[in-house]
Amino acid sequence: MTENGIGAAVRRKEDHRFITGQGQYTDDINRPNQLYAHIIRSPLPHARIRGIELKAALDMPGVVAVLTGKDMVDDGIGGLPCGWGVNNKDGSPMTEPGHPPLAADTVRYVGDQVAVVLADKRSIARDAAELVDIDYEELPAAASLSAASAEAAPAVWEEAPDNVCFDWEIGDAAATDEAFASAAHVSSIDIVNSRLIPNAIEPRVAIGEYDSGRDEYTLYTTSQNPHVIRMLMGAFVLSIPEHKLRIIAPDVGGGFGSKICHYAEEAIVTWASKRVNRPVKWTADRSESFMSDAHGRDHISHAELALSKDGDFLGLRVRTKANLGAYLSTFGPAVPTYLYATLLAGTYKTPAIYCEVKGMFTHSVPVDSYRGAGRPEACYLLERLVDRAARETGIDPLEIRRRNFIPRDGFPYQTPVLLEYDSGDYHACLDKCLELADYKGFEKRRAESAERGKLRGVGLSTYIEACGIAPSNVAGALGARAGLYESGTIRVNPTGSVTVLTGSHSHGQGHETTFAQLVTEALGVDFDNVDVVHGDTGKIPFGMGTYGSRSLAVGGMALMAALEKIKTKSRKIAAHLLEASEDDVEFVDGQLRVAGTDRTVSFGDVALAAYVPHNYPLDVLEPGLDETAFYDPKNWTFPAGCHICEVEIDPDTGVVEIDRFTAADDFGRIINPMIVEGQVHGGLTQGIGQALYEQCVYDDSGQLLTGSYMDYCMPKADNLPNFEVTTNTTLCTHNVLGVKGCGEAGTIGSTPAVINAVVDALSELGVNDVPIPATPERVWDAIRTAAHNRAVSA
Amino acid sequence: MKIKGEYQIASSREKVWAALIDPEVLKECIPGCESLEKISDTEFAAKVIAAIGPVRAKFDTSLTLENMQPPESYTLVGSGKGGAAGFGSGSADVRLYEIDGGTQLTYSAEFKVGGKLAQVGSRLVLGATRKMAKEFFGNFSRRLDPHAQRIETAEEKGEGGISKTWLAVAAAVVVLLIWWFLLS
Repeated sequence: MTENGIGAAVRRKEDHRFITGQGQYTDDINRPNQLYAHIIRSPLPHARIRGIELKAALDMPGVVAVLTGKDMVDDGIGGLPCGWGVNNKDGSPMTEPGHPPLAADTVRYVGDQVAVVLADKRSIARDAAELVDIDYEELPAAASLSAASAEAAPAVWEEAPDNVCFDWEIGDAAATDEAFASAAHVSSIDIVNSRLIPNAIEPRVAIGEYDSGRDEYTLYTTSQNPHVIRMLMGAFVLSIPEHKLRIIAPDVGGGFGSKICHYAEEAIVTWASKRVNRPVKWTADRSESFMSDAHGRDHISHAELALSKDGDFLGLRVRTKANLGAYLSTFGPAVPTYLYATLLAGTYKTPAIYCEVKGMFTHSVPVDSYRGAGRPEACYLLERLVDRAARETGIDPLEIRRRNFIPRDGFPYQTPVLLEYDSGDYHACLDKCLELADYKGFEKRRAESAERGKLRGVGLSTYIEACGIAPSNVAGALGARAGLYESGTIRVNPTGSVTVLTGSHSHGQGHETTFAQLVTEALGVDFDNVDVVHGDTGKIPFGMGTYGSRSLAVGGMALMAALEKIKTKSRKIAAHLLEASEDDVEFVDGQLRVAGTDRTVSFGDVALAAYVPHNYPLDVLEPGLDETAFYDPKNWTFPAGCHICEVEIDPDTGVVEIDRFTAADDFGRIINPMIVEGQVHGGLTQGIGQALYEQCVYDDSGQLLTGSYMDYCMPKADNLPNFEVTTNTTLCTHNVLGVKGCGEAGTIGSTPAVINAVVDALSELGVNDVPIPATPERVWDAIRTAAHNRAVSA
Repeated sequence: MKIKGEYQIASSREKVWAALIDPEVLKECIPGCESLEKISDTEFAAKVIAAIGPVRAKFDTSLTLENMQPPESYTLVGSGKGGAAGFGSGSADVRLYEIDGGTQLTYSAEFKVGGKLAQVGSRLVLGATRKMAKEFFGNFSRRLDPHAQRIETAEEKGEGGISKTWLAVAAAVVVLLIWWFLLS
């Protein structure tokens, strides 16, 4: 390991500019002569637009235009495309309605875009929007899963009268039924996985700019994947070819999946910039973020686990309804299917699994990826069910997990639900976590809590994650409408510094540091002489972006492949300079040396020779030292781990305090342990947020009630303990570094660990379930209800 | 969301009824009412300024009188648009009973809100609307009878009962504490 190479806890390069307020976020960008866009959104969950009166708004000084859905239709603008098609059980495709960027005749959720006001100032655009009179014919709405699946529920789409977008299945139903038939015990659970609003700290922003001289468009946007936006918006919505459309996603302040999707506003400002021939800027305010950023989770499930008399898992059967919202978001259908049900094996060797998922349209914001995207839903369901099975069978929750873990020597392991895990050691993660959590000391701490009148509980979860969806041809066969590779370029400059171009996007993950460490390790170039460039389709050859914890396992591997090409070419140049055979030249600490001798040439001199090729093998080698590689992984990667949570509950108030939280994760090889720890901390916080605080609520009429931080409770620093985190490494077997990914893991394992702890604390009172978020009111209510039930039965 | 209320007014039922359909009276009594225009015998257009929690806006309101049973009852149906602030709509069943010495007025209203009002103010809407309804019917009753009495509903009495008990306990504790302070 070099000083700043692989495994070093190097401080993040990018933090200097972030901490000193010099980050360049999209809202920091202002284009000459730009207009400000204000999007008029539907206040109704479902209504027909009878008419829009624009005159008063247009008469306002400073207003340049007010554009509506009809204008878009007249210009032949397409709908926002869905990037993943899912098939029904019978093989027929899902129902895929249109998704106009501006609704022309019908609005389908509170926040649906209806018109855009363009004005010289933001304040004028807002004021003018007040003067746009939209005549709505209100229609009945169903925003929740239960309302949308009720008999005679209002239909979101004519083409899906029962609101079912797809009725999908995975696994072997007959084998699973057989397993249940032979079971000694069946445990079942009803799970509501609450709806969440991602709440990146930076709201979404989009600036569209049209250059009439060159007939070219530029879109600055808060995106996790600028090339994907170029592909989707260019090809499907606005019909702009790639070479005329540049997407720039500069510093982005958090995404968590919500900035993967191609959003209407991106298309609106780009389209409008040509209509008015001026740049158009839109910045979401926080209220807009609440009602227009793609939401996450929102499942209702029933799950059953069949066990033998010894507690071996025989079969798992799951029935899920997933809320997709009113329109299909970019990866909406993939999240509750291929990113969810394929993870239901968890860390266990359950031989038969069957899951059916109904994706439902509702009059609510489209639902898409949110940190973990499907995997937290699977893990929460499975780990709650396993804990319940442990309680019902009287087997210790540790023991039941150990008994059913895929064994150390069981890899590669083919699950009954599509995936093949390449490596892992779940026993080791569990043991390490137990030790770090001082699990043995729990009973003593419980007694201490009891003395103070508090109820203490401990909860355990083990999780599996699947990162870096791959390979592209397999994903394509499953419905992905894009490739899932990544590109990376290593550009060695004449003086030996290195510019890294990556198709991954950094919005908090620290790529500028981690990827520089890869280069330092491989080429021996000083860490400060490596710069990472990302987020600009005008600079980066190509990219599929950052989501699903794929940056290192896919984007990093593309860079490794490009680095390998650089090393090969460097050896050729060095062999020429040293008058040696290429095979004898080796890389040592930034030098190229003829093996077994002291004849060396520095990497910098090799770079200079490549760009000033006076002494250079021009007859066999091109000048320059600049290599690009595309990398398509052979398989997903499978991080896994164990989380242990200890809570203390005040039975008088129902307040849950997390006293201890321990995580032991297997992320494969770790490049920067400090960055990994930060990712785990953030993930845990969001998972704890879902367990105890956060929940998106619509009222019965379809109005969004949690539309601000007064009603949507985010986890805060004082809600959290000091996390104890460690790692236990098994290497990924199919990439050169053995890396797996760490971005989402914290979110996946933590929610069930917290709730298992809450249920454990309350179990002596007869409570066997508490819904998420386990707010004081709900916990207090569970305590009271259990007491009432005991009184009735006594 | 539902709210209810009752008033005793020392005025004849006919007089109360006449006032209930008089736009001038309605205008004076609706809290924050800037203007009220009669469109027909049963339709009115009003501009009302209302503040609910952090949301303050001028609402373009249309009021319709339905189910007219003079002089016994009607349903007041209203909907208001507050632009970016959102909208509210609702209806109130108003009944008049003849009692000794006057008229008893009861109302039972149901309403909903949407847009920003729902997103940032929903928890405050019930309280704010209850206050507005109290103000309206209070203004209305006092206009006819300066000594009109609002009758607490059973629900309110229940709530009030508990809070009064606690108030008494709290007061006792405070007194004891003060004594203890003075004595020690």
